[in-house]
Amino acid sequence: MKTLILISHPKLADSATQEFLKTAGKSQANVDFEYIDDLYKETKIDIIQQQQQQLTKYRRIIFQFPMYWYSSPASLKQYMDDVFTRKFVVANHLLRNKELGIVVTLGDAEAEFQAGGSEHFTISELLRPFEAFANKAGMTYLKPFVVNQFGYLEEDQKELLLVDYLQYVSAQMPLSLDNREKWLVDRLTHMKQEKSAADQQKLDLIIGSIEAQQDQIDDLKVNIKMIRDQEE
Amino acid sequence: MSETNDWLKNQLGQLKEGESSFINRSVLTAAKALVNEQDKRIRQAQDEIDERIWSPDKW
Repeated sequence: MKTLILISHPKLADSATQEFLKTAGKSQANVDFEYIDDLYKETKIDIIQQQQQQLTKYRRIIFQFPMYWYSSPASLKQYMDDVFTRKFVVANHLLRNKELGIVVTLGDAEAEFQAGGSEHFTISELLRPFEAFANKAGMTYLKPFVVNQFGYLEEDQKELLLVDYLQYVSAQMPLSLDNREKWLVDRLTHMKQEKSAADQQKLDLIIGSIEAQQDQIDDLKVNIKMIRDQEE
Repeated sequence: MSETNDWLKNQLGQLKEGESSFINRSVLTAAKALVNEQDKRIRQAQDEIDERIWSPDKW
């Protein structure tokens, strides 16, 4: 499965969060990046056809941006207005059955984005236009991935954020324990390539144990379902 | 906490100590978190089976 991440950020070079996400994303196979603001440095007419062609090659498309006044920066809106023509989206259905994900970064605490919080509205409400677009285009809208107050995260929180982000862009949806386990086993297997023989052996044993535990969980689930089904 | 779980976390910790890449360190941290989650799910599932089998309704 291939993923395209479209980044909209007028001050990309100054953003530690975007730099972090970019470095993470580049380590993942089958994930490509496109910087919308860079595209608009070139002639606008040229990009439309080229972008439409490019988008059709990907199964998952991600809009990644900092929240500016409860929406995306202007460059993403410009891109959508230019590239997502009626013919491309509605008549020819060229985005149908693809997935649309949103990676949004916040300067404020995510907990404030709810009724009673200082921001009052939820992230889901604020991102509704993207959800409506996905619906119109026949795409599957993924739960938005929110990064808030990156600067305040501790080292281990950043490590977990990195993996959550990589899974969001590249793992099989939904992000159930089963799918996350498969993704991690895949990455651990990939890690073996650069390791000594002793560490490779260690990784093999780890992978084997993780897979065995997952099988045990699956068996237990079957048993529980059987018992529940026999109850009144 | 099962013995397998302790052993797994120990092995993952050892690999992380010798790891310089932030990305690989992150994958190892996430693997540790996954192992904890698996352990919890196994425990909860076993408890549920015990409770359902030993339900007083069936006495």
